[in-house]
Amino acid sequence: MIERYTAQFHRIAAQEIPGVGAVKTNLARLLRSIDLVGWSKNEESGRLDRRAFTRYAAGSVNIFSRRERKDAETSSVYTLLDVSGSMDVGCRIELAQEVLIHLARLLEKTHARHKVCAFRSASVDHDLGDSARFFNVKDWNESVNRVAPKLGYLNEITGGGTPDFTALSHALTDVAAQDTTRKVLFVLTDADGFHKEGVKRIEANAESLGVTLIVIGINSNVSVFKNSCSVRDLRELASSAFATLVRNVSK
Amino acid sequence: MLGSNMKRAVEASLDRIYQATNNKFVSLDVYWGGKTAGIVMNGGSAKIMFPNVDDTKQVPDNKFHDLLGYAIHELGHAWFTTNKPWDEARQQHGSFVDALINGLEDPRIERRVIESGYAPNGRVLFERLCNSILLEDGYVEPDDLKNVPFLLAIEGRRLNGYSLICSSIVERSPWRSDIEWALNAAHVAKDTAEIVRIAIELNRRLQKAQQPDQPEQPDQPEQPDQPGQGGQPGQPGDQPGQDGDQPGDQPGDQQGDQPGEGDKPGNKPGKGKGKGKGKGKARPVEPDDFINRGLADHLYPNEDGTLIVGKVVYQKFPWEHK
Repeated sequence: MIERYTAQFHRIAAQEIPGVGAVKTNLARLLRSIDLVGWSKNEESGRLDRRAFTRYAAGSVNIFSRRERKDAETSSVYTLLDVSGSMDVGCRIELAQEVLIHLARLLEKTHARHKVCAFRSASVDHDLGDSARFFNVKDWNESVNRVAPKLGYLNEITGGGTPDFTALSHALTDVAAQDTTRKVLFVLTDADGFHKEGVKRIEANAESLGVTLIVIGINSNVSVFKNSCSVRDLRELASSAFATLVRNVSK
Repeated sequence: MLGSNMKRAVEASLDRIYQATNNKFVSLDVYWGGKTAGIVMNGGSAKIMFPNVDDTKQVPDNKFHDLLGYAIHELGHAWFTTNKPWDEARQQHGSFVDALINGLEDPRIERRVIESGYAPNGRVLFERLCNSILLEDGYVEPDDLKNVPFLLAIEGRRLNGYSLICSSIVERSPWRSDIEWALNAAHVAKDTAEIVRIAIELNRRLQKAQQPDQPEQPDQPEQPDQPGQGGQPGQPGDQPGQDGDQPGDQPGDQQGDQPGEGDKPGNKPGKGKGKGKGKGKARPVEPDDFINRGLADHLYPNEDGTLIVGKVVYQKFPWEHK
């Protein structure tokens, strides 16, 4: 059973996406985790800066330079996949699975902490509102290869309703609790049945929690979200729209 | 602190307490979507409900402490209150005895929580919550019979060692010796059944003291299914585990403690409306109404119940079940 889904993962992962390099670069810029090392010039002590000799001749004493280091910006990225019944329509879930796998592989290369969950409705519990069933596909410290069968299995777990408010609130809380400087929540959905007021509230919550919310519409329009783009084909993951979106939110 | 942070802090604290109790409940869930604060017991599972605090609003730290103190207080009932003798006493002796039991039982269960070590900072939180209520709504008059249950709840906590902002009014009560007897007996009571016996005896003594002029008849047998009886605290369902899995807050609890009814703190009772002898509504012993009012300004606007964060259930993949 596991072998079958692992093979499915590898089949999808092997697909080439032309022009994906730009997305990778923009993602790396968004989630950079390299320590920045530089030199601070015009210091009164430190290492002698030979290029400051001309100023020394003019009477200047701050002709030294010092090595300075800025701590890396660390990132946590939570990817939430909608696996409600509507994702079965028009092969949306297959497309979402492909996008998710390629996104996960790209994110792994950025050294950001990354978690993947899928959600759909649980049994209706009138006492407890709109309950959600979560599938923990990839935990923060797991590698993509380790969870390959789960990623390959995603197209078989669709069904039920879309508890969007509960699911997004839960994901926001999870990513916001991570001890990193940058927090990003990617949501892959067809946004079918999303509550407008709920979207507003989720975006306000994300802003107050310092989480960047990026919504990728799978074969559907998700313009109700501020940071969003639509993908109708895997090749569009490398499209200018997605690249522009990632570049814009990294500013 | 931010509403979302407060929610997370409350959940994390209650989870730590749940772990400390060595899984005394099957599960302990926190639900932010209740119309009122309360606890629901269903079999061995406990659900603590709070009003739906807005994630984006700033909630003062003291509200957070009150909320946590309230949650631990309700858990204390779940841990240390036996419902059967209490239910029987209410059926047999009426709502005033029910309120007396509540007033004597609350300090006892808080003492048990502190002694159990389940919640290491429980004492501080209980003390804060008690003082917040007194600060907001004031104390009661010493000769106000209907508020004797509230008086017992406060003075019982003083015997627990809490440092309260109001000084004792027992000395000025016309039923001083009876109240002191009940408080001292309840302070060493071992269980709810003992509290029930003390409350019934106290009621008998209070009735006897009232007999010469008979202005009130507190020991009315309880009429079934009359929620919302004005100001009679401790209606059915006020305690966990009663009536199946109904929430622990019935309409009867909500009355009699509206904003503006209270006195100011500092042992100056009797200035607010409804605090006069014999008239008005009794102060509820349980702090749920105080919690609801305290959070009223921090809830989501126009809450219509459609945007409630429901429960999240994690499901395993088929091969993980093996």
